[in-house]
Amino acid sequence: MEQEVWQRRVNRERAARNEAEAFLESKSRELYLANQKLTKMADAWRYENEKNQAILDNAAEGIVTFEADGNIATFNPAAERIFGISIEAAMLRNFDELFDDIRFGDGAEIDSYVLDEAKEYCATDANGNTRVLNVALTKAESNRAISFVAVIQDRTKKRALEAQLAVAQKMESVGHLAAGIAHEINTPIQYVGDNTRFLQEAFDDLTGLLGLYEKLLFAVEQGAATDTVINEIQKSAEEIDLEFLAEEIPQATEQAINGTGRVAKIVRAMKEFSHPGTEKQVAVAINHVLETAATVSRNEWKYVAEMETDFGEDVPDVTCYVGDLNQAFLNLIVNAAHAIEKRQENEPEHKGWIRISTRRVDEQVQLIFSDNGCGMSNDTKEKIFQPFFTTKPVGQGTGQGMSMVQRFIVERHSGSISVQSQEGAGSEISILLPVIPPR
Amino acid sequence: MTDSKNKHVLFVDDEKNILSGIRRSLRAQRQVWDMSFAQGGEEAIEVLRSAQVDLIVSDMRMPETDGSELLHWVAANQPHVIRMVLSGQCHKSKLLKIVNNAHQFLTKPSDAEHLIEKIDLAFKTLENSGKQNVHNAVASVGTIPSPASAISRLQQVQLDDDNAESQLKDICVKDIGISSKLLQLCSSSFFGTPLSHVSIEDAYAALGADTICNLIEAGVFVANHQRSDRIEQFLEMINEHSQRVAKRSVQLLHDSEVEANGLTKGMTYAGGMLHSIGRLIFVSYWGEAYLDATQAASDHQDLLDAEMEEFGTTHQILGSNLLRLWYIDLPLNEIAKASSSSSFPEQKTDNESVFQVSGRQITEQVCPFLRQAIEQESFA
Repeated sequence: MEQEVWQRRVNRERAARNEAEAFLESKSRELYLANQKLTKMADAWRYENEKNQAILDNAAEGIVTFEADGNIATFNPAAERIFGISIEAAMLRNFDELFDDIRFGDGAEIDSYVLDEAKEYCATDANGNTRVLNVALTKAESNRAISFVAVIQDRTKKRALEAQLAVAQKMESVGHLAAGIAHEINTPIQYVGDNTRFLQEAFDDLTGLLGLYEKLLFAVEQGAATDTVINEIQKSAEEIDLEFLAEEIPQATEQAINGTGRVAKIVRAMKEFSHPGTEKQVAVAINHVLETAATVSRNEWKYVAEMETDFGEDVPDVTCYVGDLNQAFLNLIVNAAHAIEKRQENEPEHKGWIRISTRRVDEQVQLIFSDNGCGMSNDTKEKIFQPFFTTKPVGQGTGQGMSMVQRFIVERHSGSISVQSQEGAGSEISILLPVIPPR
Repeated sequence: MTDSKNKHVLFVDDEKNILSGIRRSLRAQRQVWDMSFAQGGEEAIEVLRSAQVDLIVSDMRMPETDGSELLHWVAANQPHVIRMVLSGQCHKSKLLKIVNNAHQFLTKPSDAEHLIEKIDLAFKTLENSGKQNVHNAVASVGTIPSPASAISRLQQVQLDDDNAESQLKDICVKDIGISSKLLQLCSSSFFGTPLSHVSIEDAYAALGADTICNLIEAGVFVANHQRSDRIEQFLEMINEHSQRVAKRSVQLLHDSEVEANGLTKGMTYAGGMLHSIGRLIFVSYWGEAYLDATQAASDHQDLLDAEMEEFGTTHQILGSNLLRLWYIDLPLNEIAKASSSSSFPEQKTDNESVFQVSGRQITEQVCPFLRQAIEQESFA
């Protein structure tokens, strides 16, 4: 009996131990699995982290993050290259200190820089060079903190290339215009020279006649006979055609003066036009800029069209890059002239006109360039701002004219362009330019 | 003042100021010439229809009837009128249309002395011609005809070919019609600053292959009249003969003791190429009648006799008049004098065929070799 009890107890204890062992085993297995999962997670996390770091390190764009107080938290190697400072130095600075034209103030203004689209700002790098940077700023809000991520593209080279291209195109059009300008100058020079030569000859003739009058005076003073001298005077006056001279000399003088005035005007316009222009925006009288563009391009349009201008007197000065606007207006005038020329190929009797008008519209200036040229098809109208699109024969158009207009008006001056055109009837390009460009 | 013997010059420009400037600056010429002034092409045609005009000076770019259309009209309807352009600038496409209709191209600004000199010199050709139809024969030449073979060789030159340039040049310098046109275009301001004493090669280089191709495409070198086989053969023969004379005279120059520079050589070659240009003028104006009249001639003297008898002029007179009208500075007159006997009435000239003083020296150098070459080459 006692043995039976003992046996039962042993069995119970064994069962309990087995159970405990099994429990232990299952727990340790769980632990093992958990540990393994953790390791895996750690690996994955490390991998993710390394990947992110690699992305950050190798990204072509500068990536900078900062906290709500503006303190920089992340500064990748591309950012180091762009700004020319090390990550350690960057960590000690505020984000807005990197830029010339970003200021957060006490931090309240950060949000105003968070935009849907990237925007260009300037920065001075460690070498003192100005860099043009395209910055996309986004706000990342999590439970714990607010942080900002800036993706920064260096546009300096692209801008420099674009500027070079613009200069090249400008020089090309200046070169093209030069031939026309030469003609514009040659014409007045021709008649200034001719009239001056005439004046010289006329003066010689008159000096001869004056000599005879002196002779007459002398004879009268001496109380001598005057018949012969008077005869001589009459003969000479007839020979040199005094009447003709009296009539022509004032006209010749006037034409010579007008001619030099015309040359001076053309030369002045050309000088203004080809001036490289300042990199800063300046306030200019837009009507005057239009007149300059019309003067330098006169040879392009005068054989095909009348130029009519209707300039609003209340048009305020516009703050702008004047060289860009010169070029844009010139392109529009030349295009209008070409459109008329094209229409005249089929309609030789067609009388062309180009009209330019300016108006003040609130804080903007509206400029309208209209012509009665060949007009554009809808297809052409859609494509005119595409670079390299041209309707001109090969070798005559580079397809840059209107894309330049678009860049100069819209991108550089925050203006707008609208195009209306009817094939076979003409086109109207309307431009709105802000008087003061927005920041 | 309207002395009917005075030559009549018509100036055409769309700019009134230009016309009144010219009128005033040429006031001293009013005893010498009658002058008319037309503001635009239509007005000019009215003047041409109502009065006998001897010489027209026209602007190129004018509204409505422009210079190229006006001179085309004049060349077609009144080919005896000497045609000059006075222009500031004009499109190449317009230039290509004008090259066979204008004798000379002057650029604005041109002062009065310059104009008077050019106009007077051109009038000398009119006087030298003596008879109206002799003048007409010279003034109506647009291009000297080239043999059909030369033209077809021209058209066959493939521009993408590596040798195209040298092929093109070879054809140009060996053809009287083409080389004389190239010389004309370079001697006044058609395509740039005029050059004096220009060799055919220089003219080729100055114009450039591109412009020459444009001229070919524009049909400048295709003579515009129907040709018989007989005339075709004659053109071939004259071209071939002229090439031989040109080559031989350069060789003679080379063999001589004379120190020849590139210019002298070039002028010698050009003189050789163009020495018979007058015979081509004859043919393009009188056609086979010229061949009939001269076919019996067995030597140079015979030929001149026959020409004089039938047409009252010689190919030497025609040739040198054409060159003068085109303002080409080549001593054709001197060559003519050197190679003809004195049995002909001397031309009433005082060496104006050589415009420049320095040209006279070149003439003296060049002529003996040309004369020798013409004598040595068998008569064609």
